[in-house]
Amino acid sequence: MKKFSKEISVFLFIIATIVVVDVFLQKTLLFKDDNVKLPKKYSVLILGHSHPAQAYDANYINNTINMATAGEAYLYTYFKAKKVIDKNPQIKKVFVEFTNNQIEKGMDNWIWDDVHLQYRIKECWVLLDNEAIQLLYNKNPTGFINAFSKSLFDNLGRLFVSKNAIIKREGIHKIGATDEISINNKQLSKLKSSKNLNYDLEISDYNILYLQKIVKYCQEKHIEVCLIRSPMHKNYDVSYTEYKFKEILRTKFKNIQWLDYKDFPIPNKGFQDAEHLNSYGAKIYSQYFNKQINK
Amino acid sequence: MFFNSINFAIFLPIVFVLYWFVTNKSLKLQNILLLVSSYFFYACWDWRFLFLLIFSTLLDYYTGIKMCDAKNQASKKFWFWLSISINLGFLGVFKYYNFFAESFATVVANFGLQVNPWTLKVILPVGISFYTFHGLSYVIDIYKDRIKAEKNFIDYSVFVSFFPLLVAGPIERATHLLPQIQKKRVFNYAIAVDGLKQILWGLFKKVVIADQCAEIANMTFNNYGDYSGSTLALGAVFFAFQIYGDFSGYSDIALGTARLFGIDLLRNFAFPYFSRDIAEFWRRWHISLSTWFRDYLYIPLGGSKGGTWPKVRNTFIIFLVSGFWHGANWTFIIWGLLNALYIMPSIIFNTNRNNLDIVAQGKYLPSVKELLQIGLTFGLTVFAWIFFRAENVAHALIYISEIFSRSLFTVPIKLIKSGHLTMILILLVFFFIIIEWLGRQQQYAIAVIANSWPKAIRYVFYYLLIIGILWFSGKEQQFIYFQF
Repeated sequence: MKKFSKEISVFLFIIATIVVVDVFLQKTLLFKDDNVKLPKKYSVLILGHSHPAQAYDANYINNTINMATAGEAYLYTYFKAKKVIDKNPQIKKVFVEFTNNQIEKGMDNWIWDDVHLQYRIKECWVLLDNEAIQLLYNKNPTGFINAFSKSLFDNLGRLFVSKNAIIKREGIHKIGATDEISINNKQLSKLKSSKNLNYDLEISDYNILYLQKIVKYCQEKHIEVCLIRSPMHKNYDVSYTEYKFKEILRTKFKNIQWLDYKDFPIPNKGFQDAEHLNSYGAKIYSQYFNKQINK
Repeated sequence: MFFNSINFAIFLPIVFVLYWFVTNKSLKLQNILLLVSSYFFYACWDWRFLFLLIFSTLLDYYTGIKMCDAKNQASKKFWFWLSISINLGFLGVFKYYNFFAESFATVVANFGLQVNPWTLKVILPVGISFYTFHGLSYVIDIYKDRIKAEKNFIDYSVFVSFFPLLVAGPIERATHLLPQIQKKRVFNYAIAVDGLKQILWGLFKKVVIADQCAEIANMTFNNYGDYSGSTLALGAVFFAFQIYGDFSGYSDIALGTARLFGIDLLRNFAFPYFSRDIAEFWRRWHISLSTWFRDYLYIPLGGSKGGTWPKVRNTFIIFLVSGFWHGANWTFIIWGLLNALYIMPSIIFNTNRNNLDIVAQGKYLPSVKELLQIGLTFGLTVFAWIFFRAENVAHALIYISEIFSRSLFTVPIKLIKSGHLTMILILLVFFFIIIEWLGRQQQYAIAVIANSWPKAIRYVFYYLLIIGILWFSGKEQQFIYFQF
């Protein structure tokens, strides 16, 4: 038994050492300052999920960087924003997408289900605080540990192969929409038939809580923060969430600037699907948006 | 609690430490610990079904003693049939009732009668087919005077519910497992290390091979209309590796875990995809079930005695029952029937025991003839697996007809471009086949493969397996055989 215990201890000690070194390297190298610092010209930051990622083509918006990422819940946006804002004092304004689907209970899955954890933990576990780690672990222990152990390997490659920092890559490579696919008639008729969808709306308290944290953090840093709803197709029905959505806006974000471009006129060929613009739609909208914020 | 879960990774070391460091002075305490941990393990699935397991254990324990104490044959027979009918009754109710009720309604509907059968709205208690078969073999062995009834309830309960084998086998025999439970176990370094290696290999098979192959198999089986014949054929091949990696991986983890506690379980797999004919395949696939059916069904039916016709009949019966054992669905019955048809020529021409040795024993490569035999056997097996995997018979038939279309001879380009790391997976499966081939003369593939290597390189090999497991682990996938 002694020999067995010794061998197992040595075997596990080697694994533990590798893990500790790996964690240390990721903690120190992954988000080191020069990997997070943005060019001085960027003073406006856009955050959110896939809607803004595809709606704002920063090539048409002055001094703006679009760091919105598809499938990103506010918890992850919060930690990303904190890091970027800390290291980039030139940022004076932050636009955060706030749209109907972000209040729904399904957003909890975006925070801690297996699939989303796989992506998000890899991207930003280094940035998370203890409270967030505890939340993720409590909600999905297996998924969290799997995602974390996987990120230990995945990010090793990033440390040594890729020179780009995660935040920069997220931002620069996701600027604007690139997809040329347009919404088709089949999708449009489906949208019509799904109107009047009626069910009890459950709310994702966690997602809203972290949006409040983003807002609060920006305010503490004296950064102007604005909630914004980017364009959606007119056939896309959000009426079943609209009342609750507006109520949350009214009660939890009372004094926050709110820009609503949900009904901004974009032709069908400017939509990739009902919720997402394509590059054509993004160009039209971004040019308009640029004029609005630089009036 | 899955074997591939974090919970099990915590549970196992705790039980191991308690077993060898706290209760090691007393066999009784060790067995109590095994029983309590096994019940805890089972309760993690659904604590309510624990009562069913305990009832089944009590039933067979009590009827076993009653049979042994019976003053006459009639009394012995009574207790025997009581146990058999209650055991099969539970299995019938939980596993087959809905199938029979719905099939009856369908048949009656053909005569213009409308029947809305009352169906059970309960999930199948996990492992019921396995622990029922444990109990049945015990009761039958007592009835046939092969063994004496076990008087110690704790020992008997451990035999039925020992956690490594509780939910998906191997299906143990009292003659093999009970003596080990009754005997003081001494820690053996070599056996424990061997157990850990087997667990590691089992996890690799499950997480890296089975779960990854499952992605492609699910994709093709769920969206068969979107793919070419060649892609669907490839999907069926991936399913063959999925089910092998899944079930033999499970069995390796079970056997390895039992070895950590000084207990040797029955071998369940012996590299079945290197079989040269279907008879050999069935001597190497799910061995504990095949031998169970052989000993408790085939032989009592007359076995191979009495000429060709009874042999053919008995073979059909055990394959049909075996198919039905897997689940209450016509797809499993057809799967069993197909295998019976495959094996029939060798039964009729008495060639079913031609390949009793290990293929290309002592050689690196098989001969061309052996390779062709292996290929043909594998092809037939893959074809039968389509029924096993399909949702229903119509699904299987459409899938097969889509395979045998003109697009069978095209490059499965859509699959390659599907972004599911298909090429990496093909390489992984290739690596897996090589390792299995190299280790085919052992209990499991990596049993001796790295033993002669320097320690450092051996460690690197094990670390690479662990990295592979962690790399490919994602969603905790259930083992396929847990549903049976």
